Amino acid sequence: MSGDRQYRQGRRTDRERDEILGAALRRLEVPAHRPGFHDDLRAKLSTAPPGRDAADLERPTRLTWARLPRGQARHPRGWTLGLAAAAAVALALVLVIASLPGTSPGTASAAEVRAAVSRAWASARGIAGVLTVDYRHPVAASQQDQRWRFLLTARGDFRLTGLDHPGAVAYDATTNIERGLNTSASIPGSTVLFASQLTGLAPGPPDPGPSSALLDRSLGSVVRALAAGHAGQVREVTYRGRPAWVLDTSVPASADAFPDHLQVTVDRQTGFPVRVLASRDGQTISETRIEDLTVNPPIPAHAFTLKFPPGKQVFRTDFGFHRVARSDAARITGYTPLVPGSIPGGYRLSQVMVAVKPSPTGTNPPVGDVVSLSYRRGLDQFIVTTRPVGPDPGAWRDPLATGEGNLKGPQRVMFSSGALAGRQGHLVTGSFAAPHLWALTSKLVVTISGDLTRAQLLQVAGSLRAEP
Amino acid sequence: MRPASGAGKRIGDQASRGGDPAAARKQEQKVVEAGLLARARAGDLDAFVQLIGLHDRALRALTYRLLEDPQLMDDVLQEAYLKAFRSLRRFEGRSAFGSWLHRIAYNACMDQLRRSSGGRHLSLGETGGLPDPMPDPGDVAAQRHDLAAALASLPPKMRATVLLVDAEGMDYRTAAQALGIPVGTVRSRLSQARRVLRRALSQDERGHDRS
Repeated sequence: MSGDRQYRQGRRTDRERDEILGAALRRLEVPAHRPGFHDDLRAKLSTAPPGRDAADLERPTRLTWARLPRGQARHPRGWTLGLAAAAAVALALVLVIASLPGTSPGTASAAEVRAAVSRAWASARGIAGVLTVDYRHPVAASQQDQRWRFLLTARGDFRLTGLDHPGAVAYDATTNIERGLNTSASIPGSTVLFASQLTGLAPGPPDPGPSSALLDRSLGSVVRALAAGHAGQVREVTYRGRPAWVLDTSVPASADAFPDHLQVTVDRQTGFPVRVLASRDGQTISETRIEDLTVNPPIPAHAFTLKFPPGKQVFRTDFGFHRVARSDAARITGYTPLVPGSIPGGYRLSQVMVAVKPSPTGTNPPVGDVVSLSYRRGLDQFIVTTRPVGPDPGAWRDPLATGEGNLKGPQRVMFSSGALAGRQGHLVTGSFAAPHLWALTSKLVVTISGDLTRAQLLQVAGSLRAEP
Repeated sequence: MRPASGAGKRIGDQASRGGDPAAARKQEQKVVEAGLLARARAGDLDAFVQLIGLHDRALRALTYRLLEDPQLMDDVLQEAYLKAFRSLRRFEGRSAFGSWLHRIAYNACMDQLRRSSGGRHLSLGETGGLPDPMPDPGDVAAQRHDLAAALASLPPKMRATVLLVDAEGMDYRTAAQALGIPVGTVRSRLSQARRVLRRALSQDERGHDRS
């Protein structure tokens, strides 16, 4: 039965139906502007010519004393009306400005809070603070309460220093070297530190990248979960002496160990989450807190270089990735990599890396000649990789499958444009997994993963083209 | 039966003639707008920023629903506001400032959509529906019961029409000016768009009735 017919049976008039539709459309959430939008706009406007010639043409004629006919009263009626109109304008201005977005004393909508968080994350050059993760009901041995001092930059450098345990990890994006001093998880209670040095790291999944999983799991996944969500309740609170929003929102339930509800406290001044209560079936799973948060902090020299104690045995691993100019990637790998022709606003290509040495992703065949393109926007990152499909295309499974947090099964999509035209892709979007898409062409395996919405993943995938 | 012309006018417009508070506020806004416009044309930046603030929420709604990306929404609106500021001299007042601004923003959106059309993908619905053994439950819910998804499924031109008339309350003539199309085209686009959206709404209502 059609909707129209049902409406007719409900005896609603056309006008009523339009009113209902209009009201429903007006209730749809509208994102707020990114922080700094108006500052940017003002800066651009201040350099734009305002069309002064036209202003002169159309400017209302001003009454001046000199233009008044002799003998006419010096308070002409037009002036009185003008003053009255000006007063009305002033009064109305106060009324209208009070109702403008951003100036209202009312509570922000869930969409505005989500937008504030997304944009804070996407516009920061770096953040620092103390991260505390408190697992209320650990379901895995790896879920131990931890307290770290952290520093993270938009280039991908990071440093984690344990505050309640002796571990430390630092990654220097300039040198692409990660160094860690950690206790062994297989020796419970041990305080012996093992030194490791990782070089030749890939920008990130599906290839081995820097070990920023803790930060990603604690903060990045929350930002993604909020961005992917819809509704929620917002209330205003004071959190540790600062104005904050508390957003209560459901998130798509994924694997059993992952939350179906988040209560996120967002610092209103910075837009960053400062406390996250994650729960499932009404039971709190974990509490994450960010203390001493600093946005765009000063970066001390050598902040991302970890020194090992003299004489310490160092376990070294080289993953074989190295930076190249994009124009050199085809020459090195022997094929033309796929490059997005369209990327979400604000993202920029930050680096191109190539690994010639074969290595596996998950249970897939080990192949070399991998090209990995990293795009960054503030603390957001997404990665596009291509690699030869090899002799058995049927052997390929999701190169990013981790089994963690994914919704059950990928969604299949068909592309109509770009290098993937006519090909099928596999799309995975879950609240606590890196959203990703993978596809096979006749010669290549393609992955796209990172801080992208479903629509953005499809935008990037549909725009891929072979570009030397 | 709907009147043939100006049928998109909202009930609120009729009420305004009776002097209700909403209509009075609308009238106040027009007065404010006129004052700000005069100052903006004289090069007053603050006045221009306040002026666009009067229409910013409606323009965010339009651009976001057309582009479906908050970053693009911001980028396109900055471009539109800048263009409007530079073009104030060409605004002759033959239409309302709001519909002029909507037209600039709408054109900027359409330009953006054209630019990114190379990256257009087909959804499952557009391909005729590939079998998806385990579809994303959120997507299924959105596709079947979400008005936003139904709106997103409309072609952008149709989407803009229904947003301007039904959500923003523009009459057909003003919407036609904002979109740069004849009134008859507004009417036909609106008719098709409403048919799709009412269906989504009726499904929502059935869903709510069951719950």
